[in-house]
Amino acid sequence: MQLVSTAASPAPGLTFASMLAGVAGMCAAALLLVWQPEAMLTRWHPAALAAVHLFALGGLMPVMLGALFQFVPVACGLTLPRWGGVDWLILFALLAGAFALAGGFLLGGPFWLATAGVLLLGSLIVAAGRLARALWRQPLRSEMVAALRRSAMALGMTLLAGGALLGILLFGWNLPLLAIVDWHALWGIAGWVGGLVASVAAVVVPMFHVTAPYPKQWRWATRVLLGALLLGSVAGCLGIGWLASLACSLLAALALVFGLLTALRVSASKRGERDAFHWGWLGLAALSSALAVVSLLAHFSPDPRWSVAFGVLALAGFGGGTVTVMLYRIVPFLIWLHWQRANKARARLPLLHQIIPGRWQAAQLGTDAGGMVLLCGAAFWPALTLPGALLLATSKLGLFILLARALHDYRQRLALLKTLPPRVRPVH
Amino acid sequence: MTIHLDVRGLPPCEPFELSMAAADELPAGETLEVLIHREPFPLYDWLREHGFVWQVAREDFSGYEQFRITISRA
Repeated sequence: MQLVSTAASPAPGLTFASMLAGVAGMCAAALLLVWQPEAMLTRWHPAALAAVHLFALGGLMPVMLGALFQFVPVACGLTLPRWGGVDWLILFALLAGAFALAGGFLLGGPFWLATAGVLLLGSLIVAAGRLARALWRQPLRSEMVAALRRSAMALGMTLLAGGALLGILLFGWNLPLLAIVDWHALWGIAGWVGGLVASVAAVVVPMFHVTAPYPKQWRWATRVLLGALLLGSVAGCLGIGWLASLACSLLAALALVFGLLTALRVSASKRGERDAFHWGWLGLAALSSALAVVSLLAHFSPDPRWSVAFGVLALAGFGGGTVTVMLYRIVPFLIWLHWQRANKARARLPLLHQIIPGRWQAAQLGTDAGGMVLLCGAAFWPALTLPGALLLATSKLGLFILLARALHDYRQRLALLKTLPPRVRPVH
Repeated sequence: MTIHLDVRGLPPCEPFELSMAAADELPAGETLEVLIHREPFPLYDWLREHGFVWQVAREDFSGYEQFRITISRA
């Protein structure tokens, strides 16, 4: 009998704190664009680099790691060992490192970059190492574990490239800067974020939408993804244009197929409800297909504004949007699960959709989508940056409040459940 | 005697709630057999904490996996 347990994984308090901190980090990145809207003029603007890394490392990363601590045991039976205070230290170092890196890009000079390098590489290597150890010690029983292994490899490659970039900036290492920047961004967005979303969606979409599983052939997707990223990295470093184009086309095809498969499944949902979770996943499917087109334009068009639009769509749209939509279900599900385990009295518990009210989810999702569309447009019409960034910051603040209220209810009800006497079993 | 419960195709958290309710009512010496379309890892925590033992059989159903969980009181 396999012992798989959310109880043995890092505490739910850590998961929820990571999620709240991540949403706050995304809000901070949007506020940075409000402060410096000229960031959207080019992907190389210091404020653009600061906002991107604040969003990715201070926003997406804590949410993704927090979700891995608790949701993956539920979804695929993987248990990460509980490390107590060290877990909190990793979260703190990750957040401090993300802000230090943003400060390094904005203020220049080696101090903030070096501080960020120590904090980020230290915390992420430890976090990724623990994830990898748990994944490779786990018997390979499910495709989810295999896909998570590939995502962990992508995270490792992203960190390797990030470390090399810090080496170039701090110590003047003689390495091809542009190729490594592209390698770093691609492994991070397509490999780590995209790979994780593709593998988690294969579980979450059929489970929560009550719809058909993804076709068995889809399990090849994360293998092809890894292959395309390797091809792209080699091509970028050696300057082989046609190979880089082939890798880009493969990645675009994967994004398009993911979008179509997801849209078909969500449209055929037997759940019946047309709520924010439904529209959110349909939006993500459409976004994935749009990303396929925009990634090709960014690769083949000489107009650099397509690269900016691609970055916004991929990071704030696909990454940030997936996190938002997932949190609508993951947080209520985990809250319900921990209530149920403490519910010896068998008291009636709120339903999942009552834990975060649906109408507020819809308002938050609409604001998020509006902000993302405006920011994408800002790549071509810079005047849209300010309203887009304000909308995005408002939506993240709204999400933070919704989650904080749900977690307040969680703690209150959990304390109450623990005081109730156990139900007496009927005698047969 | 074995009680059968088919929770395939139900949305979260209905399979968990139905399985829990059926296990709660399970008389000593009898078994509960739950048929489900995904492996219910969270249910194992609950079963262990509430004094049940269980066995898992992985089956093929039209090319996809399904799970038969046989539950009894410890």
